[in-house]
Amino acid sequence: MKNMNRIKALRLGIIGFEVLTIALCLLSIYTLFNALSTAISGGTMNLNLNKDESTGEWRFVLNGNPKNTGFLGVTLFFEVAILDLSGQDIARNSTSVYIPAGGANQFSLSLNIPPDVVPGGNLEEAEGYFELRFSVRTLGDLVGFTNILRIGGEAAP
Amino acid sequence: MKVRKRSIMFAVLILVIFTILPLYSQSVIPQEYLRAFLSQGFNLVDLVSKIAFIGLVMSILILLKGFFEKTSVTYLALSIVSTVFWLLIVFFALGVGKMENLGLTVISSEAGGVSNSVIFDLRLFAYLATVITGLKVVHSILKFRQAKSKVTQVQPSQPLDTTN
Repeated sequence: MKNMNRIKALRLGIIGFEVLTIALCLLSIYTLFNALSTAISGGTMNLNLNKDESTGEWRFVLNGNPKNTGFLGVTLFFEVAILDLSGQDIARNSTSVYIPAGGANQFSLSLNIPPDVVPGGNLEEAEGYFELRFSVRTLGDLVGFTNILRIGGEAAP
Repeated sequence: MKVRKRSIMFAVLILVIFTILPLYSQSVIPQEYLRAFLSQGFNLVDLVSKIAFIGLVMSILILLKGFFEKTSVTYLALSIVSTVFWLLIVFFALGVGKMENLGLTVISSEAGGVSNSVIFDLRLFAYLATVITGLKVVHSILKFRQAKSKVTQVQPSQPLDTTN
């Protein structure tokens, strides 16, 4: 009898554990996609690329005020980098921001591109890569989504 | 040899949902969509074939379980195998068709000097599913031992045949 109760308790425990896992999985995925759709929606982010004529330096600035309409808090991570043709870093900067459930938070990320990387002063003709890394993590940063976008010439060896 | 009707019904249901329907839907989807998915680093045909195979194996396991008594060692072995197989299905679903990734999915595409990589990290749920599978295996063993002891109590003088 005692053994039977133990087996029953184990069965109930497994069912509870399964329900909790499925609920957490659904909540996390919902929160991730929600944060993603809010982050990339119009008006949330502001991207500026300006040239300082006196120094010839380009300045990349990304400002944002993303909202989190999901059920769990999320951590957004942004990283921008300029790489040479061999894939080595020329400039890199990153920032992360925590947004509680139902809240919003501001962030700002800037990157200075040295003039020697842009020989003719025209950014479109510059050799190398521009890399943007965007990541959303939730459930104590245990679950996440990352997007890495690399724009440039030939692939780095 | 008796086969439980419930097992046959469940096996047929699994076969229809996971094997027949995906294979049929594959023939309905226009080729342009399949090519578009493939260019984005997502092989839908391969995914559907894997789902169909999983459905086939799962229905065979369920059907086989229906042949054996709950007190037999074969039933216990089949229960453990099907539990582990469910874990593989979870890995498969979390890895969007790649169970070897254990919940970490990387989809990459490249076009016109722009490369894009998308990474889904769902490893936490792969670990939790592994713990649940472990607990389910323990539960299957305990249930088997309980069923066996019940039979022994009912027929103490007769020897037990636990080979099938």
